[in-house]
Amino acid sequence: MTPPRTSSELSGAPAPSPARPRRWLLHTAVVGGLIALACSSHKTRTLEDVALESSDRFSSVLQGVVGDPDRAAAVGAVFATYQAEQQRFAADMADLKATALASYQAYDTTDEDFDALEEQLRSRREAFRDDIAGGIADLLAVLEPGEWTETVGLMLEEEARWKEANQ
Amino acid sequence: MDQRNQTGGSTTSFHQVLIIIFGSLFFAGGGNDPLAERVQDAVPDNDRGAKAVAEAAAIDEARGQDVTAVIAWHEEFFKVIGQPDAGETVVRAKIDEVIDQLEALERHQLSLRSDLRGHLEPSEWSEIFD
Repeated sequence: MTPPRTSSELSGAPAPSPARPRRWLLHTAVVGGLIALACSSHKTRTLEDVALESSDRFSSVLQGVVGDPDRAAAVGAVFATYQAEQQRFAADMADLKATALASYQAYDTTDEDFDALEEQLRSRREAFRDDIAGGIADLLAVLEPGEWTETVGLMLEEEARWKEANQ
Repeated sequence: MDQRNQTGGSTTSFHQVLIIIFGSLFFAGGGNDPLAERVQDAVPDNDRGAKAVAEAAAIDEARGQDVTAVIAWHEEFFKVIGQPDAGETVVRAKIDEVIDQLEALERHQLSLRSDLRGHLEPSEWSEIFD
Protein backbone atom coordinates (compact mmCIF):
# COMPACT_ATOMS: atom_id res chain seq x y z
CA MET A 1 0.00 0.00 0.00
CA THR A 2 1.36 3.36 -0.96
CA PRO A 3 1.44 6.13 1.62
CA PRO A 4 -1.07 8.99 1.22
CA ARG A 5 0.15 11.70 -1.12
CA THR A 6 0.96 15.09 0.25
CA SER A 7 -0.86 18.19 -0.92
CA SER A 8 2.19 19.30 -2.89
CA GLU A 9 2.33 15.98 -4.65
CA LEU A 10 -1.36 16.21 -5.46
CA SER A 11 -1.03 19.75 -6.78
CA GLY A 12 2.12 18.98 -8.71
CA ALA A 13 4.05 21.62 -6.77
CA PRO A 14 7.63 20.84 -5.82
CA ALA A 15 8.15 19.44 -2.34
CA PRO A 16 9.22 22.10 0.16
CA SER A 17 12.96 22.34 0.57
CA PRO A 18 14.43 22.22 4.11
CA ALA A 19 15.04 25.97 3.84
CA ARG A 20 11.39 26.71 3.08
CA PRO A 21 9.96 26.38 6.65
CA ARG A 22 12.63 28.80 7.85
CA ARG A 23 11.75 31.17 5.05
CA TRP A 24 8.05 30.95 5.95
CA LEU A 25 8.90 31.70 9.57
CA LEU A 26 10.80 34.76 8.42
CA HIS A 27 7.90 35.84 6.24
CA THR A 28 5.55 35.44 9.20
CA ALA A 29 7.87 37.54 11.34
CA VAL A 30 8.05 40.22 8.66
CA VAL A 31 4.27 40.37 8.26
CA GLY A 32 3.83 40.39 12.05
CA GLY A 33 6.25 43.26 12.33
CA LEU A 34 4.42 45.11 9.61
CA ILE A 35 1.11 44.74 11.44
CA ALA A 36 2.72 45.82 14.71
CA LEU A 37 4.09 48.91 13.01
CA ALA A 38 0.70 49.67 11.52
CA CYS A 39 -0.90 49.44 14.94
CA SER A 40 1.72 51.66 16.50
CA SER A 41 1.49 54.33 13.79
CA HIS A 42 0.52 57.70 15.09
CA LYS A 43 -0.17 60.99 13.40
CA THR A 44 2.43 62.82 15.44
CA ARG A 45 5.33 60.70 14.24
CA THR A 46 7.87 62.61 12.22
CA LEU A 47 9.35 61.35 8.99
CA GLU A 48 12.62 60.85 10.87
CA ASP A 49 10.77 58.56 13.31
CA VAL A 50 9.37 56.61 10.38
CA ALA A 51 12.80 56.14 8.83
CA LEU A 52 14.36 54.96 12.06
CA GLU A 53 11.51 52.48 12.65
CA SER A 54 12.24 51.12 9.21
CA SER A 55 15.87 50.77 10.19
CA ASP A 56 14.77 48.80 13.26
CA ARG A 57 12.82 46.47 10.97
CA PHE A 58 15.91 45.94 8.86
CA SER A 59 17.89 45.04 11.95
CA SER A 60 15.35 42.49 13.18
CA VAL A 61 14.96 40.91 9.73
CA LEU A 62 18.74 40.71 9.39
CA GLN A 63 19.11 38.98 12.75
CA GLY A 64 16.29 36.58 11.84
CA VAL A 65 18.11 35.63 8.64
CA VAL A 66 21.35 35.00 10.54
CA GLY A 67 19.52 32.71 12.94
CA ASP A 68 22.41 31.56 15.16
CA PRO A 69 22.03 33.53 18.42
CA ASP A 70 25.73 34.28 18.89
CA ARG A 71 26.27 35.41 15.33
CA ALA A 72 22.96 37.32 15.36
CA ALA A 73 24.13 39.20 18.45
CA ALA A 74 27.42 40.06 16.76
CA VAL A 75 25.62 41.24 13.63
CA GLY A 76 23.20 43.21 15.79
CA ALA A 77 26.08 45.02 17.45
CA VAL A 78 27.57 46.02 14.09
CA PHE A 79 24.17 47.14 12.86
CA ALA A 80 23.65 49.19 16.05
CA THR A 81 26.77 51.22 15.27
CA TYR A 82 25.48 51.80 11.75
CA GLN A 83 22.08 52.82 13.14
CA ALA A 84 23.67 55.30 15.55
CA GLU A 85 25.27 56.98 12.54
CA GLN A 86 21.88 57.11 10.83
CA GLN A 87 20.28 58.71 13.88
CA ARG A 88 23.01 61.31 14.19
CA PHE A 89 22.75 62.12 10.52
CA ALA A 90 18.93 62.30 10.56
CA ALA A 91 19.05 64.80 13.44
CA ASP A 92 21.68 66.82 11.64
CA MET A 93 19.66 66.84 8.43
CA ALA A 94 16.47 67.84 10.25
CA ASP A 95 18.11 71.14 11.20
CA LEU A 96 19.31 71.75 7.68
CA LYS A 97 15.91 70.88 6.21
CA ALA A 98 14.20 73.35 8.56
CA THR A 99 16.61 76.04 7.39
CA ALA A 100 15.99 75.13 3.76
CA LEU A 101 12.23 75.25 4.18
CA ALA A 102 12.41 78.66 5.91
CA SER A 103 14.58 79.93 3.04
CA TYR A 104 12.14 78.59 0.47
CA GLN A 105 9.26 80.36 2.18
CA ALA A 106 11.06 83.69 2.59
CA TYR A 107 10.38 86.04 -0.33
CA ASP A 108 13.84 87.67 -0.21
CA THR A 109 16.02 84.54 -0.30
CA THR A 110 18.54 84.91 -3.12
CA ASP A 111 19.95 82.39 -5.58
CA GLU A 112 23.28 82.72 -3.77
CA ASP A 113 21.60 81.70 -0.50
CA PHE A 114 20.21 78.59 -2.18
CA ASP A 115 23.58 77.78 -3.75
CA ALA A 116 25.18 77.91 -0.30
CA LEU A 117 22.47 75.67 1.08
CA GLU A 118 22.93 73.14 -1.71
CA GLU A 119 26.67 73.10 -1.01
CA GLN A 120 25.99 72.33 2.66
CA LEU A 121 23.61 69.56 1.66
CA ARG A 122 26.12 67.97 -0.70
CA SER A 123 28.82 68.09 1.92
CA ARG A 124 26.64 66.37 4.52
CA ARG A 125 25.37 63.78 2.07
CA GLU A 126 28.91 62.91 1.05
CA ALA A 127 29.93 62.57 4.69
CA PHE A 128 27.01 60.24 5.19
CA ARG A 129 27.91 58.30 2.05
CA ASP A 130 31.29 57.55 3.65
CA ASP A 131 29.62 56.44 6.89
CA ILE A 132 26.97 54.26 5.25
CA ALA A 133 29.41 52.62 2.82
CA GLY A 134 31.74 51.82 5.69
CA GLY A 135 28.85 50.54 7.81
CA ILE A 136 27.63 48.20 5.09
CA ALA A 137 31.18 46.94 4.50
CA ASP A 138 31.43 46.15 8.24
CA LEU A 139 28.12 44.29 8.06
CA LEU A 140 29.16 42.26 5.03
CA ALA A 141 32.33 41.26 6.86
CA VAL A 142 30.37 39.54 9.65
CA LEU A 143 27.74 37.89 7.41
CA GLU A 144 27.86 34.53 5.68
CA PRO A 145 27.51 34.58 1.88
CA GLY A 146 23.88 35.07 0.91
CA GLU A 147 22.64 36.44 4.23
CA TRP A 148 22.86 40.07 3.14
CA THR A 149 21.15 39.34 -0.19
CA GLU A 150 18.40 37.39 1.58
CA THR A 151 17.83 40.23 4.05
CA VAL A 152 17.61 42.88 1.35
CA GLY A 153 15.28 40.60 -0.64
CA LEU A 154 12.96 40.22 2.35
CA MET A 155 12.89 43.98 2.91
CA LEU A 156 12.08 44.58 -0.74
CA GLU A 157 9.26 42.04 -0.51
CA GLU A 158 7.99 43.86 2.58
CA GLU A 159 8.08 47.10 0.63
CA ALA A 160 6.07 45.53 -2.20
CA ARG A 161 3.41 44.50 0.31
CA TRP A 162 3.46 48.01 1.81
CA LYS A 163 2.92 49.52 -1.62
CA GLU A 164 0.10 47.12 -2.41
CA ALA A 165 -1.61 47.87 0.91
CA ASN A 166 -1.36 51.61 0.33
CA GLN A 167 -2.56 51.69 -3.27
CA MET B 1 7.80 68.39 2.70
CA ASP B 2 6.15 65.12 1.95
CA GLN B 3 3.52 64.58 4.61
CA ARG B 4 2.04 61.27 3.49
CA ASN B 5 3.18 59.28 6.51
CA GLN B 6 2.48 62.00 9.02
CA THR B 7 -1.14 62.36 8.08
CA GLY B 8 -2.15 58.95 6.84
CA GLY B 9 -1.46 56.97 9.99
CA SER B 10 -0.10 54.26 7.71
CA THR B 11 2.81 52.02 8.41
CA THR B 12 6.32 52.79 7.35
CA SER B 13 7.78 52.40 3.92
CA PHE B 14 11.24 50.91 3.78
CA HIS B 15 12.06 53.29 0.96
CA GLN B 16 11.34 56.37 3.05
CA VAL B 17 14.71 55.79 4.67
CA LEU B 18 16.43 57.41 1.74
CA ILE B 19 14.07 60.35 1.75
CA ILE B 20 14.88 61.07 5.35
CA ILE B 21 18.45 60.02 5.69
CA PHE B 22 19.69 61.71 2.57
CA GLY B 23 17.51 64.68 3.35
CA SER B 24 15.61 65.17 0.15
CA LEU B 25 13.84 68.42 0.81
CA PHE B 26 10.55 68.40 -1.08
CA PHE B 27 10.27 72.13 -0.81
CA ALA B 28 7.03 74.06 -0.65
CA GLY B 29 5.82 73.44 2.90
CA GLY B 30 3.29 75.74 4.50
CA GLY B 31 0.73 73.08 5.38
CA ASN B 32 -1.04 70.13 3.86
CA ASP B 33 -3.36 72.03 1.51
CA PRO B 34 -2.27 72.06 -2.11
CA LEU B 35 -0.16 75.12 -2.85
CA ALA B 36 -2.38 75.97 -5.85
CA GLU B 37 -5.38 76.36 -3.53
CA ARG B 38 -3.48 78.68 -1.21
CA VAL B 39 -2.25 80.76 -4.14
CA GLN B 40 -5.78 80.94 -5.57
CA ASP B 41 -6.98 82.41 -2.27
CA ALA B 42 -4.21 85.02 -2.21
CA VAL B 43 -4.16 86.38 -5.76
CA PRO B 44 -6.60 88.58 -7.68
CA ASP B 45 -8.80 87.03 -10.33
CA ASN B 46 -6.85 88.26 -13.34
CA ASP B 47 -4.28 87.06 -15.86
CA ARG B 48 -1.38 87.38 -13.40
CA GLY B 49 -3.32 85.48 -10.75
CA ALA B 50 -4.14 82.70 -13.20
CA LYS B 51 -0.45 82.35 -14.11
CA ALA B 52 0.50 82.18 -10.44
CA VAL B 53 -2.07 79.46 -9.79
CA ALA B 54 -0.75 77.49 -12.78
CA GLU B 55 2.84 77.75 -11.48
CA ALA B 56 1.70 76.61 -8.01
CA ALA B 57 -0.13 73.65 -9.56
CA ALA B 58 3.11 72.72 -11.33
CA ILE B 59 4.88 72.72 -7.93
CA ASP B 60 2.19 70.48 -6.42
CA GLU B 61 2.47 68.07 -9.32
CA ALA B 62 6.28 68.02 -9.23
CA ARG B 63 6.31 67.31 -5.51
CA GLY B 64 4.27 64.14 -5.99
CA GLN B 65 6.52 63.06 -8.85
CA ASP B 66 9.62 63.75 -6.77
CA VAL B 67 8.46 61.52 -3.92
CA THR B 68 7.74 58.73 -6.38
CA ALA B 69 11.15 59.20 -8.02
CA VAL B 70 13.04 59.08 -4.72
CA ILE B 71 11.23 55.91 -3.68
CA ALA B 72 12.18 54.34 -7.02
CA TRP B 73 15.85 55.34 -6.53
CA HIS B 74 15.82 53.77 -3.09
CA GLU B 75 14.43 50.52 -4.47
CA GLU B 76 17.07 50.52 -7.19
CA PHE B 77 19.75 51.35 -4.61
CA PHE B 78 18.89 48.31 -2.49
CA LYS B 79 18.53 46.01 -5.47
CA VAL B 80 22.08 46.91 -6.49
CA ILE B 81 23.73 46.81 -3.08
CA GLY B 82 21.87 43.60 -2.18
CA GLN B 83 23.65 41.69 -4.94
CA PRO B 84 25.97 38.94 -3.66
CA ASP B 85 29.08 40.58 -5.10
CA ALA B 86 28.29 44.11 -3.88
CA GLY B 87 30.93 45.76 -1.73
CA GLU B 88 31.90 49.17 -0.43
CA THR B 89 32.87 50.48 -3.90
CA VAL B 90 29.48 49.58 -5.34
CA VAL B 91 27.69 51.18 -2.39
CA ARG B 92 29.69 54.40 -2.68
CA ALA B 93 29.12 54.67 -6.44
CA LYS B 94 25.40 54.10 -6.07
CA ILE B 95 25.13 56.71 -3.32
CA ASP B 96 27.03 59.22 -5.45
CA GLU B 97 24.48 58.61 -8.19
CA VAL B 98 21.61 59.21 -5.75
CA ILE B 99 23.22 62.42 -4.43
CA ASP B 100 23.46 63.78 -7.97
CA GLN B 101 19.84 62.84 -8.65
CA LEU B 102 18.66 64.54 -5.45
CA GLU B 103 20.58 67.69 -6.31
CA ALA B 104 19.03 67.86 -9.77
CA LEU B 105 15.59 67.35 -8.25
CA GLU B 106 16.11 70.15 -5.74
CA ARG B 107 17.40 72.52 -8.42
CA HIS B 108 14.21 71.85 -10.34
CA GLN B 109 12.14 72.56 -7.23
CA LEU B 110 13.91 75.89 -6.81
CA SER B 111 13.42 76.74 -10.46
CA LEU B 112 9.67 76.20 -10.04
CA ARG B 113 9.74 78.42 -6.94
CA SER B 114 11.40 81.15 -8.95
CA ASP B 115 8.69 80.88 -11.61
CA LEU B 116 5.97 81.25 -8.98
CA ARG B 117 7.72 84.15 -7.27
CA GLY B 118 7.79 86.03 -10.59
CA HIS B 119 3.98 86.17 -10.57
CA LEU B 120 3.42 87.19 -6.95
CA GLU B 121 3.65 90.42 -4.96
CA PRO B 122 5.64 90.23 -1.70
CA SER B 123 2.45 90.63 0.36
CA GLU B 124 0.78 87.78 -1.52
CA TRP B 125 3.86 85.60 -1.02
CA SER B 126 3.69 86.26 2.74
CA GLU B 127 -0.02 85.41 2.84
CA ILE B 128 0.68 82.08 1.19
CA PHE B 129 3.75 81.00 3.16
CA ASP B 130 3.57 82.74 6.57
